[in-house]
Amino acid sequence: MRSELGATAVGRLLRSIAVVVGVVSIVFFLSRGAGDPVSRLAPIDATQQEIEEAKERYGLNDPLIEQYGRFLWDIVRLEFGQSFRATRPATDVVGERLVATIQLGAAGLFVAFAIGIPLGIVAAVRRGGVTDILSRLGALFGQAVPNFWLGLMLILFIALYIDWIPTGGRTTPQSIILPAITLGSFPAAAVMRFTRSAMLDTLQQDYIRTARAKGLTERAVLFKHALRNSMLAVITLLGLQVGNILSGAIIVETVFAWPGLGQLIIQSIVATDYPVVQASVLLTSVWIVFINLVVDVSYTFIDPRIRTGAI
Amino acid sequence: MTRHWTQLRRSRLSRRSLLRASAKAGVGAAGLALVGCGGDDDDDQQQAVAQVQQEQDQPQQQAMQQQQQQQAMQQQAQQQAMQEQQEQQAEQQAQQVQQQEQAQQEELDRSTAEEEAEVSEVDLDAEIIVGYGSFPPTLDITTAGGGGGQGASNNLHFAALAAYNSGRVIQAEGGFGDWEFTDDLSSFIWRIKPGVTFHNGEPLNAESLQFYYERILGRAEYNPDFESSLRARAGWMGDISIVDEQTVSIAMDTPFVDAPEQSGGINFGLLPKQYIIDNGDDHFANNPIGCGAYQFMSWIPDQEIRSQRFENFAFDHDAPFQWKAGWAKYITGRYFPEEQARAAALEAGEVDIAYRISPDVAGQFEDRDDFKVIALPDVRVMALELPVNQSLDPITGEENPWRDVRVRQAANYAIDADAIIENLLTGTEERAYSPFPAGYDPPIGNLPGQYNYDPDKARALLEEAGQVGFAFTITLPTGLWTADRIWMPAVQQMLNDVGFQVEVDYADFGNALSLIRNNEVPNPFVFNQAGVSSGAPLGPAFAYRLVTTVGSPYSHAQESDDFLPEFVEFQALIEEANAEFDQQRANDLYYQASVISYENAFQVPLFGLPHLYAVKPEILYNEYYGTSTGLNAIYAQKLKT
Repeated sequence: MRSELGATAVGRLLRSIAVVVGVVSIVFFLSRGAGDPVSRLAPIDATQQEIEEAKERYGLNDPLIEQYGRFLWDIVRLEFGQSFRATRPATDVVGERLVATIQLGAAGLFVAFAIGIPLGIVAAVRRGGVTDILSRLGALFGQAVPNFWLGLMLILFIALYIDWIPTGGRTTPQSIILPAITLGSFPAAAVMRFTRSAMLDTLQQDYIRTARAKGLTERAVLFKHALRNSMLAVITLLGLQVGNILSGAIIVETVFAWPGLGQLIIQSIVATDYPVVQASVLLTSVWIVFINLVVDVSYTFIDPRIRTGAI
Repeated sequence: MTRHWTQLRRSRLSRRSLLRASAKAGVGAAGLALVGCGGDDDDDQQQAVAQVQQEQDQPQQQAMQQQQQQQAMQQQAQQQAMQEQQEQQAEQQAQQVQQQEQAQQEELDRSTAEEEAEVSEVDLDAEIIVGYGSFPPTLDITTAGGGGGQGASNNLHFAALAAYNSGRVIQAEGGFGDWEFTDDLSSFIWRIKPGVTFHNGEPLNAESLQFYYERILGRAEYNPDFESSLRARAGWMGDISIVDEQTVSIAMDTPFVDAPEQSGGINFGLLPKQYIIDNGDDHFANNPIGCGAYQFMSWIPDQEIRSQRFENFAFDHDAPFQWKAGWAKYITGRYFPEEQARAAALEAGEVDIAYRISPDVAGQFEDRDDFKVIALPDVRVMALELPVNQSLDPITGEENPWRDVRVRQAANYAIDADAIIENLLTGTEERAYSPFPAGYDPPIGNLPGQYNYDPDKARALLEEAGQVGFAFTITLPTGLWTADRIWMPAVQQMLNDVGFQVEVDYADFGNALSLIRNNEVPNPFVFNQAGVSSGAPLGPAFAYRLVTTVGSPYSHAQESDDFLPEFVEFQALIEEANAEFDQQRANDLYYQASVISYENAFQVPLFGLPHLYAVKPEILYNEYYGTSTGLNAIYAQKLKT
C-alpha cells in the first residue's frame, strides 16, 4: 500500500510539473504576442537606435523558437533574466514582493475561513432560520460584488472616517485590515456555502443520530463528529481558494497600493516586462500546484478511509 | 511663471488692439467699397466720359439724377446700418476678449498672490507627502529609461550640468557647468563650477564627469557591461579627455548641435564616481546619490520614497534658472496606482498632494475650502497626425484624399476644440493652433480665424474636394492622456457632422506606440507633440524631432514617400534648423517651417491637456517653466499652520 501511495505521489508530481511547464509556455507565447516591450518602456523621445540597441540587448530580435528554448533552459536554472523595467534579475524583483503577498493572502484566507466556517455552521444548524437567510444573503453579496468596487467602498466609507485605518499602502500593521477584508470577502462566501452544505449532509448521517442517541452534548456532536467530517470538502476548497486569493490579490493590491506580487504582475504585464511576468507566473503556478498537492496529501490524514484505502 | 504670464498678457493686449483695429479697418473698407473713392487715373477718365454724356442728354439726366440721389441715399442708409452692425460686432468681440482677459488676469492675480507668499510663512521644516500614480522600478537615473517615477525620484535626487530658462532653452551658463564648442566644432567642452559636491560629499569634477560619460557608454573599467538607457543619446561622444581639474573635452566626429542637451540636459543627472565603484551598480540603483536639491533617505519599492533637503545644494531658492533649493525639509513620495485611492488618501489627510488626477476626480475637489486643484499647462499639444505624403490610400488603394489641402483644412475647420475644452474638459486646457502650446512666440499660436470652428466651411471644402463621405480610422493610443475616452468621441462626431465617416481605434497605449514607431499605422493617429513655450523651439523635446518629419519616431513620413512639394520645403527647413548652431537662426527656420505646416494643414492641432493635481490648501506651488512636464515637488511650499 505504501508503494501504491508513493507511485500516486510521483504520478501527481509529474502531472504537476507538466501543468507548470504548460502554464509558463502559454504565458511565454501570449506575452510575445502582446507587443514590443522596448517601445513601451523607452522614453517617448527615444531614438530608433536606442530602441534597436535595447531589443538586441534583451535578445528580442532572435527567432521566437530560439527565445523559447532559452526560456525553458533558464527555467531549469531558475534564471529569468533581467527585468526590463528594473534592470535587475527578475527573480530578485519577484522575491521582494513575495512576503507582502503571502502576508496579504494569509490574512485574506484567515478572514475567509474565520467568517465562512462559523457562519456556515450556524446556517446549517439553524437551517431556514433568520441567521441562515442572512448568511446566505451575505454569501450572495460576497460573491456578486467585484472586489475592486468593495475595496473602493471600504476606503471611502471606512478609511476616511476611521483615522487609524489607512487608505492604502503597507506602512502600519493596520494597513492590512481593509485589503484583507476585501480579499477575503469572496472566498468567505464560498467557504460559508461549502461549510453549510457539508454540515447539512453530515448532520443527516446515521452516525450523528447515533452520537446524539448516546447522549453526547450538542457541542460534542457538532464539533467532534459533524464538523470534522465536513472539513474534507472545506479543505478541498482551501486548495482552490489559494489560487483565487492570488488572482484576487492582483486587483486588491492595486486598489490598496499594497506592494505585492499581484501589483507587480499588473505593472509587468502593462510594461510587457516578460522576465518578471514569466517569473511571477511560474512562481504562482508552482505555488497553486504545490498547495493542491498538499491538500491531496492532507486528505489521508483527515479521512482515515483514504489512508486505509477504504475509498 | 511670471514671465510666462506676462507674455500671455502682452500677447492678449496686442490681440485686442489688433481686433479693434481690424474691425475698424473692415468698416472703413466696406464703406469705401460702397460709395467709391476717386483719386486715381481710371476714375478721372470715367468722370470725363460721364460729363460728355451729361451734356448730350440733360433732361433725361435730371430724372436719372433724382433717381441716383435716391439710390445714393438708400446706399448711405444701408452703409450706415452696416457700419453700425459691424461696429457692434467689433465691440462685442472686443468685450469678449476683454472678459477673457479679465478672467486670465484674475487667474494671474491668484497665481501672483501665491508667488508672493512671504518666506517667513513657509514651513521650512515641513514634510510634504505626495501621492503618485507611478513609481520608478529603479532609482538610477541612467537606467530608468521610460520606467516612470520622474517626479518621485529623478527630479529630486539628481541635477544635470546645464540650466534651462523658463522657456526650456538650454543656457550656456547658469547651471552646474558652462559649455562651449571649439571654434572648429571638433570638440565640445564642459567647465564645471568649483565647489559642487554630491550628497555624500564627493566633489563634482572633471574626473567624475569623465567617469559618468564612460559609464553610460559602457567604457568604464569598473563594469564595462553596464547598460545605460542613455547610451544612444551619448552615442555622438568620441574620446572624453580631462583638460584640467574642472574641464572635460568631448571629441565629436561630426559637429553635433545637440551636444549640450545630450550631455548636460535634463536626462543626464550626474552621479558620483567613487560611490558607484565602491558599492556597485545594484547598490546604487537602490541607494542613489546625486547632487540634486534633495538627498535620498529610503525606498520601499512601489510603496514609499523618502528624501531630505540637501542643505549644501549649489543653488538657492531664488536662483535664476530651474535649479533651485527645495522648500520643504522632507519630501515623501507614496505610491497609489489607483486614482480614486490617491484622491481618498488626500481626503484622509495621508498625503498633501494627489499627483496627476483626471478631470472627473479633480471635480471632486473643486470649489472646496479644504482642498484646491492646481492645473499646469503641459508642454505637449494633442494633434491629429495626417498621412499626407502617401500617394495612395493604404486602405482603399485609391488616390489618397489627405493629399488635397482642402480635405485637411476641412478636418481642421470641423472640430470645435473650444467647445470640447469648455464642456468636456476642465476649461483650463489651451486651444492649439500649431504644434506649439499657447505662449509660443512668434505667435503662430495666435492666428485666430484661420482654422477656427466653421462646420459650413468644412462641409463646403469637403464638397469642393469631392470627398464627402471620406471614410477613415483614427488610432488613439489610450491610457496615458487625460480623459482620452471623453474628448475623442466628440472629435469623431464633429468630423462626421461635416461629411467625414470616422471610426476610432481605441488602442492600448504601448501597443499603439509600438505600431506607430514601426510605421504600421497608415491612418491618422493622435499624438501629443512636444512643443515648448515662450519662443523657444530649441527644447529638449521639440515637436519636429518627434513627429511629422521624415525619420521622426512617430511620423507618417518615410524616405520612400511621394512628398508634397510643400512638405519638401517644410522638411528642408526643419533639417536646416536641426543642424543650425545659431539658436536665433534656428528659431527663425522653425518658425518658417511652422507657418508652412500650418497653412498646408499637415496636422489637426487640438489642445494642450493640463496636468491636474489636488492639494491641501496650505500647499503653494510655483511652476518654474512656462509649460510643465509635471509638478516638481522641489518648488512646492507648505505654509505654517
